[in-house]
Amino acid sequence: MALPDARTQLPQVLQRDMRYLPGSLDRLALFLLVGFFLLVPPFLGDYWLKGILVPMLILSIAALGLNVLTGYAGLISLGQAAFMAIGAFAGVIAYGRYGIPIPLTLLLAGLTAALVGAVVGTPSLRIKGLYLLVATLAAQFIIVWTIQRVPWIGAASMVTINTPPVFIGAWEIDTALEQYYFSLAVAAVLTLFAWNLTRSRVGRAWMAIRDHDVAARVMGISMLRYKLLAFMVSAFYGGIAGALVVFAWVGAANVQEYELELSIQLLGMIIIGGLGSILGSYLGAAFIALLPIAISIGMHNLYGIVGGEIVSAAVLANAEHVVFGVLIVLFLIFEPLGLAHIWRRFSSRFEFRLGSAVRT
Amino acid sequence: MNDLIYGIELTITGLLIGSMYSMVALGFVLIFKASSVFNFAQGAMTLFAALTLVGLIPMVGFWVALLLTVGVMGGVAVFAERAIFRPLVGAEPLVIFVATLGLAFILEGSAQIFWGTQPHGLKLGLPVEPLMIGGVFVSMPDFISALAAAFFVILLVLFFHKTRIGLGLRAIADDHVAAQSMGIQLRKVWTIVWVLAGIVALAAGMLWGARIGVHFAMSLIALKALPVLIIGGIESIPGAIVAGLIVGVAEALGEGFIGPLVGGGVQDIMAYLVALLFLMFRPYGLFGEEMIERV
Amino acid sequence: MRPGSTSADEEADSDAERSLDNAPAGEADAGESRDAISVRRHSEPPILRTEAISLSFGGVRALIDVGFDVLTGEILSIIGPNGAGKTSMANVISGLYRPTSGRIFFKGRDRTAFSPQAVAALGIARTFQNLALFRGLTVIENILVGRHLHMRSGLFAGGIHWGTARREELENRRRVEEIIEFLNLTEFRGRAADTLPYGLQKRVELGRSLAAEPGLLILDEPMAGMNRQEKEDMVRVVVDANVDLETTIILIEHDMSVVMDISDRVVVLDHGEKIAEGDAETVRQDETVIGAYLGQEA
Repeated sequence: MALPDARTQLPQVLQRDMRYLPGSLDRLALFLLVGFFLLVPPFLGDYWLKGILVPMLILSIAALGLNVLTGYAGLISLGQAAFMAIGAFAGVIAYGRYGIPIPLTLLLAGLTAALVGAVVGTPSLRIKGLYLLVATLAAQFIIVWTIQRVPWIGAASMVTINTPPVFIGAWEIDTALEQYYFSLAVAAVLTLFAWNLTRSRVGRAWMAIRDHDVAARVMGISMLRYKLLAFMVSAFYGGIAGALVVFAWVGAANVQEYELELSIQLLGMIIIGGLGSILGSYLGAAFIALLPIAISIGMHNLYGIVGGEIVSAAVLANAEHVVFGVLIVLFLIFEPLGLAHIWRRFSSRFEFRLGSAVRT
Repeated sequence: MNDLIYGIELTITGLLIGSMYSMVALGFVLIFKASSVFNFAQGAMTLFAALTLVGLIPMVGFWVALLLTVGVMGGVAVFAERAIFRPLVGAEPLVIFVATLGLAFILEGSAQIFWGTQPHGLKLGLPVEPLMIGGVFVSMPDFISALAAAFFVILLVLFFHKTRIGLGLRAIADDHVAAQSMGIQLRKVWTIVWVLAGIVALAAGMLWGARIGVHFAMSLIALKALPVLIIGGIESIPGAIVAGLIVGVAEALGEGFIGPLVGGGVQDIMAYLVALLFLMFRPYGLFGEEMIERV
Repeated sequence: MRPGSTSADEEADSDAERSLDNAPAGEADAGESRDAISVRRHSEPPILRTEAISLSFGGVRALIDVGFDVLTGEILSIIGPNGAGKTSMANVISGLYRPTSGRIFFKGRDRTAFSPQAVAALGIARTFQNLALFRGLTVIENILVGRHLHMRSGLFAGGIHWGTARREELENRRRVEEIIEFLNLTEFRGRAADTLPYGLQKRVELGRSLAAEPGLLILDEPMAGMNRQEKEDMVRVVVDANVDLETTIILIEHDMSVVMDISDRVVVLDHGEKIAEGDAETVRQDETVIGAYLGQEA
């Protein structure tokens, strides 16, 4: 059926199997998205760029990393924010103190986080599930604590370290639009890498460990290598995201931005977006980035109707928490594979219609 | 010699504080044994209960406020069980864990919307003058809190081992199917488990509230029950009690002796450091049994 | 065995024979190649030797001094009542359990202390009694995981996916298609593994282990819970794998008719001990074996 004549058709069939996006609607959507991200931002104001798009891209990178670990390799982590912190401080020290060029600094930030990631991942060889979770929770607290207390890092006295003006060669990245395109370029490279990787031998090894670790071992998959690799890749992405926070968004490394709450939010993003899905990491991050705006608009309207006082920032922040918690629970109950799965259902139904339309 | 006395004082303080960790961790163990729920929201429930209590006290006085808070926590428990955990029955433990993350956000957010984000004091009117026992200085409030925590620990253990409901919970922990066939209703039991979690949260909220005030950091302190659990062995009642005491002492000694060298805050991570050591070298805890994986 | 089951067994026997006839190579060829293997087999050292394997879990003795040889090219069946230690033996051989005492030799070399991963690298593959597919992966991807040790691409090759890595992927996907065709799974190749019916899932699992091109294949009750048609298909595939792919097979199976029909030799375990070993007919006549099975039936 799928192979009318195996001998002549096989290479084409295999090529088709290896395509990035099998569906035509998927390809159209990607085309539109890339078009939007490349062409529309120059027409958007700074509020949109710095308030929504740049943080969204940065969170997407961190979420993508976490999704590699949790969604693909099946190892849950509550420590992704700590790896962002490592990246942020490694970045600001490398660039600000030693003047290492920005591209190398990003790489260094990622690698430093990856190195710590390998250490944090070590217990995963003996423990899993809830035990591993507590190990990553411990890492979250200990890493942030250590950053604050090692004098060499310099976060103890000031908490925040500012970065000098950001130059790549002679190009100074100082406008919001430049920061946006810089983040976009980094995100694009990292996304393509993760996309390839998850579809490769390494990605399959991760999913094999996730779905049935005993069977994976019997197929010759090394737990040591692939679990640590998952932790390292995940931390690498977190580290780069943290460095981007410094160089493309806030302009400073501040250890208080990387508390447990952010780790939980990143976990929430990939659950809402879709575990084990590249697209899902983006959808989840976009959803969470847009959520505060939706809530703020909703609350103001609500208060407008009931005629109450102006909504305070604290109430808004807490309302965000409530809505975020409710969303996590709702997705777990009704759509455990997240927004990405909703899209997949929609697009495959579309393909089916298209297919039958062509046939008749 | 001074160091020795200082050490003894710290150890005693640690044991007193540790008894509160033991209490919260014990609540975790009981819930985990009966329902396999690893409840991250325990910290948020503690904050929720304490905020509700201190919010109500000025309105209706302590005892009525306490009663009302028990009622509210019961309501929260029933809500959590009905709306969140019943639909997820049979899901993997990790999925249910993540659901408790969601619950934690819901509870923290709504408590602070309702009662505000500023810290509150909680005065239980306990005597404050310190005890001197054989030249060693002991904080009176800590001592009373520890007594209360110890009382609660005994109560919980008795509840589990002596009452019909407790025996039902244990039967379920051993074998869900068999317990059901004996006519024990899982749903009812799970509701009870969540009510129990709420009451433990309230007790913890009161004891800590009296010590450090009622504010957001409280949920982080209650969260330390997770590393305590790992140290004790996830399903072990004596493990939770002993590990709570160990963590209390380790924190007090760490803060007292190492804290001045690194700029304080050692108690924030001590529980996690000890838990990591256990995860590296004895992952199934003090009293836990290593499971043999059947293939 | 229950007396009432004889006629059904005979039926299954003849069915199995018929499906052998349908093997692509044709009856005569298949017969000849099997004979050729038998001749060669006896002149070679055993591919696997287990010596006095004992295994206990906290006081419970799962295996007691079990030892046998597996000869190159044969189908060796391990049978025995429930709880006899068959699966434990498979787990010991594949490195999942470390035996309490005893030694294991593969191609003459001691590998008692090998990890499952190292055992796999030696060319030993297995299937599991309970389904052990990678549920989130498609049929193709599941079988591709079986190619893991034949592929090299690591982090960077996989992430950049250009040149050698791409060629390697393509080539291994081609090998996977051969297996998919061999197992008649073409229709289901793109389906998620956990959406397939039980019998097909078992077949995918076999495909995954065959993709590793193992020298020794351990099949742990590959036909458990199957209907007769599915069993017949599976028997044919197992025999084909043995004959066409020259795979030595250890077969753990409950269905005596299947065992008697396709095994070169049979090892019988009971309460963790080996109680008999020999060709199918010898074992069938063995008093102890009959006793063990009668004991279980009663």
